[in-house]
Amino acid sequence: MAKKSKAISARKAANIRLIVQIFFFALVALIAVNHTLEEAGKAIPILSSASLHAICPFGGVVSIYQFIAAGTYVHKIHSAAFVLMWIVFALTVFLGPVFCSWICPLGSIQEWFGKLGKKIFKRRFNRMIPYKVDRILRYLRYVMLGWVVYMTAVTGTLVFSDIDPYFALFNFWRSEVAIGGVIILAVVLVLSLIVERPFCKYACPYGAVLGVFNLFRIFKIRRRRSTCIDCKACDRSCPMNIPVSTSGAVRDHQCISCLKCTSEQVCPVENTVELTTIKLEAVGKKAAL
Amino acid sequence: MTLRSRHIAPIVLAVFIIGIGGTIIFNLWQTTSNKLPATYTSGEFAGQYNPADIRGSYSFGDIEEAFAVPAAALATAFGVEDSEDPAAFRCKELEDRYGELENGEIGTDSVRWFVALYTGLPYTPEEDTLLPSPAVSVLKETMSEAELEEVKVKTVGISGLAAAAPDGTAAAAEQADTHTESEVDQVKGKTTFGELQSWGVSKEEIEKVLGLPVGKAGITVRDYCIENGIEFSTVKGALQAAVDRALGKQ
Repeated sequence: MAKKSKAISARKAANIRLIVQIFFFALVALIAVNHTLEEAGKAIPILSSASLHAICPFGGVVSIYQFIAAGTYVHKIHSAAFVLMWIVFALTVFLGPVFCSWICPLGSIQEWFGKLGKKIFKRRFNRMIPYKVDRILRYLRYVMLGWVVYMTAVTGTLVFSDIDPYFALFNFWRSEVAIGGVIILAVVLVLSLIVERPFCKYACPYGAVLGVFNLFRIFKIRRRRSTCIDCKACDRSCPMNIPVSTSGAVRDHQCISCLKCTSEQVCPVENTVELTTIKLEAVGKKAAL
Repeated sequence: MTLRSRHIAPIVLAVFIIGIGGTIIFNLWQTTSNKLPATYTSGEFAGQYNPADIRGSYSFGDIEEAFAVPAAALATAFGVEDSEDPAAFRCKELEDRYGELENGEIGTDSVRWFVALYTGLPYTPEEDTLLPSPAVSVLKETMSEAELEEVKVKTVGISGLAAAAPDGTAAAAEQADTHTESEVDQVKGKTTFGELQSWGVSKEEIEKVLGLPVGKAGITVRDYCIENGIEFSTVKGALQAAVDRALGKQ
């Protein structure tokens, strides 16, 4: 009975995130379509018709240098991207990279493709790349971040848009989209069938920025050692392959705050893996006293 | 404090709504650039809008507002009367429609030049800029025959082109692809100082051509020229030569 009710509440929690993901995916898709409609003079009223560049918080990140140096934004970037950048930073300081797991449409579509991959490859899904290789590849996204920021600063143009799968995803019907972006999008979606969130793990420069916040975020994923039964359910559920079961507090730069590992979802013991500000061991000791 | 999914969902939505809503209230939320071009900074036309600053994202309606050139006249001149709303037609769509032609290009720079000719404002177009032939008929209203003779040299008939690619079809798209490739080392209106330097042109060479210190990496050379009262077209050739030298084309 308890198991059944636990399963229901876990499903509810997963569905809440899914609803938020679908909401943001649909919103961005509608805005992208409306942008095209607006150019044809048929925009849907009330709905924004901004270009995708204008509502991408990463546009704010790559504009920082030019904004400081010249007081202007990179070509195609406007203040909205800066506003979104600060909103996401504020959320990330508190909750970690929730943008990646709850909002980013590219992350969502990879996750949805991954569900299909899980059905095809069962237990082998997301476990096919050797650990040593995987660990090294994880740092590639910082190389990507460095390259994008440097090249944008030097050229003053959005160099990343030519290879950006997110831009391609919502602009594939426009001549503006670069073939490089479409190819990378296709590769990412195919890889999503064998690896969970491959772009997030290995290439996303924005994920690289937000991942750094995991070192000092206020709400952390914490594990209570005293009640942990070491079943490793948290490790198996983590889309980013983080060994939660060996951590007191997860500070891994790849954590995306999806909450899959928590007691709300897969951890079978109540109050053992939580998104919290409190050191759970301290709570456990107080309770014992 | 411990948070669950049921808390995070409203927190995320609330932070976005409050953040975006707040910046909209304080007029800090901009998703497009304002459509007012820069003005001439000196000389007889100081204070007037400069057609050199017309961007690809400007619609014919934006141009009508800034320069009092009717959107309908622009639509006729550029052969886009078939557009459902000429005022909403964007300059950059011309490149999709006509692409690069054998002798040059009909694009945003063509609009700049047309507006300058229509209003009598000074502007020197880029060397490869062409005007569509209907533009000459429209310009007859504001220019003398003698003046028009000079313009006619750089006009091109568009009836065949428009028929081949009326709505940015495959032919136009193919031309657009060619255009993108050829832009890599071509000095254009949107070329930035950063791009010039990434192509191997030294700061000293740029300064020698402009007679000014090099602008910030992200600023376009055209914008910098406008800001400093220089006609971009007068330095474009020299900059292109510097690029060609740097790339070993000369």
